[in-house]
Amino acid sequence: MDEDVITINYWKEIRNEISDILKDLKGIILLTHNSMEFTDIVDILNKTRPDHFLSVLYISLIRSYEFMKLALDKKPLDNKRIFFIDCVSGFAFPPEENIDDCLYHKPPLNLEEMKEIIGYGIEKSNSDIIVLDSLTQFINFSRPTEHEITDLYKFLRTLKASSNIIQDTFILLYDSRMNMMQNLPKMYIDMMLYDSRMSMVQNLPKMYIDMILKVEVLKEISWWKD
Amino acid sequence: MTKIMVVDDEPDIREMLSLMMQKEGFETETAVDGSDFLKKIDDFQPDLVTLDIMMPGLMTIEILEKLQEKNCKPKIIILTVVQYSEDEKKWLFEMGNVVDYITKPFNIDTFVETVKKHLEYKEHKVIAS
Repeated sequence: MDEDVITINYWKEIRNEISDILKDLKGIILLTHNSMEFTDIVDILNKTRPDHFLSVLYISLIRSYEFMKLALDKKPLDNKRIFFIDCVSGFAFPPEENIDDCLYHKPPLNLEEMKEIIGYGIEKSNSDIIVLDSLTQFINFSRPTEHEITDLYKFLRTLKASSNIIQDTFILLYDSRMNMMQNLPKMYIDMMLYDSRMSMVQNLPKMYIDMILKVEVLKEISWWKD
Repeated sequence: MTKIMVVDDEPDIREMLSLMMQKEGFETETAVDGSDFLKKIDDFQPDLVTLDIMMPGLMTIEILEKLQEKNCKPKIIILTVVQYSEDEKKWLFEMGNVVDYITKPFNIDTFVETVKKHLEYKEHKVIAS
């Protein structure tokens, strides 16, 4: 697929452009990078099809359920129901009882376990959007081979066959302010959202990228506003 | 010489923190996970340990519990990308030995200051007793 970079000169137009793109997206799988703040992800979810009530499956390898709930109390998700799979609390705290909107699970040690968690989550939540937060953490923790990462992407693509998920768009969220973990596999990614305030060129493979959007616009940061 | 052990499953982190601590004049040792840490601690006898909270193998809660059975009980700085609520962090501090919690990514200078702060406190305590 050809890479299509949107370059727009005016802050207001970019904000509208991003919002216009997100509001019509369907069947999203959002893969995050470690650098993304939870509030950034909430922003993107809020801008995604804001006029529709959607169900979100949030698989967290990096933030505890309690942390996210407190964040959502301050900055709620509008028109969206979210079901969490918390894969981090079990590391440091005694096992919790599962509650209505959260399942506690040990983190996936390999690709098969990751697939099981995703499959279970879809079944349980009947979700329209899947967030895997973060892809970086899954890679750090399970040390998959490149073949296994490709296999994961292919697996996520096959979710099209599921009765509840029709996948249109595969998004990778990445904050390029971070120097670490720049070499994130990007095959099969339809859209990459990134924060480009860093002047360093990020050396990422760009196969199959349809679109690169700027998170700084979503965050309404206007250092180059005219 | 003051001893620091870096426990992290990421090789880059282990190397970076180890080199930084050596530059500050500390003797260092590394461990790749909780089991490795518990094996090495008796021989190395660190004064302070930086511990990643999410590593394959032993859970953090198990590591901290097993540490109570050891003769050497160094100060622990949790160094992790994982985000917990403030109440959850307080629980970790109550486990014993945990003196600080730093979320990655972190500012290098701030990290060094934090390590030194906790080691200075220990040195002052030793002098006073």
